[in-house]
Amino acid sequence: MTAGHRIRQALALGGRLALGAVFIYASYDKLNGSQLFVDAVENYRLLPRVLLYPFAVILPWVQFVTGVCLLAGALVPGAALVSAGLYAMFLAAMASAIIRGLDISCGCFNLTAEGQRVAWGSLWPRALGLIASIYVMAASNVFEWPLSRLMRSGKGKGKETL
Amino acid sequence: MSCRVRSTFAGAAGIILVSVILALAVNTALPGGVPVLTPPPSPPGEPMDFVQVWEAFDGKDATFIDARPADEYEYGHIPGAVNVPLLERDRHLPALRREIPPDRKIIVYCDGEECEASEKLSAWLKDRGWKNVYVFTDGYPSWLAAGMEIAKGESP
Repeated sequence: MTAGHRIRQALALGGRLALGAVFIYASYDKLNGSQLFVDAVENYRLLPRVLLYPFAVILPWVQFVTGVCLLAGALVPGAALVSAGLYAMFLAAMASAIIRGLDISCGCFNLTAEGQRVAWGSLWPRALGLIASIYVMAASNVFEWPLSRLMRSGKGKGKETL
Repeated sequence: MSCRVRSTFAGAAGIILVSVILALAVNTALPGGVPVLTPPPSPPGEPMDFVQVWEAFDGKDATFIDARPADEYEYGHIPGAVNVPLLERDRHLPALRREIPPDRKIIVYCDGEECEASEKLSAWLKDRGWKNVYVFTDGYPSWLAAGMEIAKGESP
C-alpha cells in the first residue's frame, strides 16, 4: 500500500467518523418529536402540510441511524448514500429558501430563535458534507467512478472497505 | 447493476426502513412528542366582545396579540400587546414559544370585523399548540372608540 493510498484511506475514515458524529449530534434533541423542528421544517415552505409532521418525526431518526452506521462501520456504502442524499436535500432546501428571500432559522442543530439563520454561508458546510459523503462512498468502491479508480490506484487495489 | 451497487441501495433502504420503524415506535411509546400524522387545520379562535376583552385586560389574565402591520401597531395598540403581523408570523414563532405558555389565554385582534388577520392568526396559533386562543372581533377601532388606554411604539 502506497503512502498516497494510506492517506486517502485515512481521509475516508476521518470523513466517515465526522459525518457520523455530526448526524448523531444533529438528531439528538429531535428524536422524540420536536414542535420547534416541525416549525423549522414548515418555515421552508416546501412541503405540503400533510407531510410536515411525518417528515419532522422521521428525519431525525434517519440522521441518527445513518450516524450510528457511519460511526460503527456498518452498512457504510448504504449509509454514505443516505448521507449524500440528506446533504443534497439540505443544500437544495437552503438554496431555495435564500433565493425566495426567506429569513428563517436553519433548524439544523440549535432550534431556538437565535439558531443559525439560513444564508449563503450556511451552504458550504452542507456542500462539504455532500463531498465527504461521496468520498466515503467512492472509497467503498460502490460505483466505477474516476474517484473510485483513483482510490484503488495504490497497491491495496481498494479491496478494503472502511 | 452490479452486486455492489445493489447492496448499497439495499443498505440505504434498510437504514431508512429501520429509521421509520424506530421513529414510529418511539413516538408511540413516549409521551410528549409531536404526533406522527399532521393534525387537521384548526378553526379560528372563539370570538370575544368588548366587555370580555376589557375584563381580560383588567384582570391581566391574557396575552394580547396585535395582528396588524408593524407601522399600524407602532402608531397605537392595546397596552402590553405583542405585535405579530400575519405575514411575518413565522419569524415570530420562536419568540412566542419562549414567551407564551401553551395554556395561556391569548386574545388576537386587528382592525375589527372587516379585518381577517386576527382570525387567520388565531387559527395559526391553535395549529401550533396554543389552546386558549380568542379573537377580539371588534378589534382596535372599538378599543380606541371607547377611549381606552393605548400604547405607542415598537413591540417588546
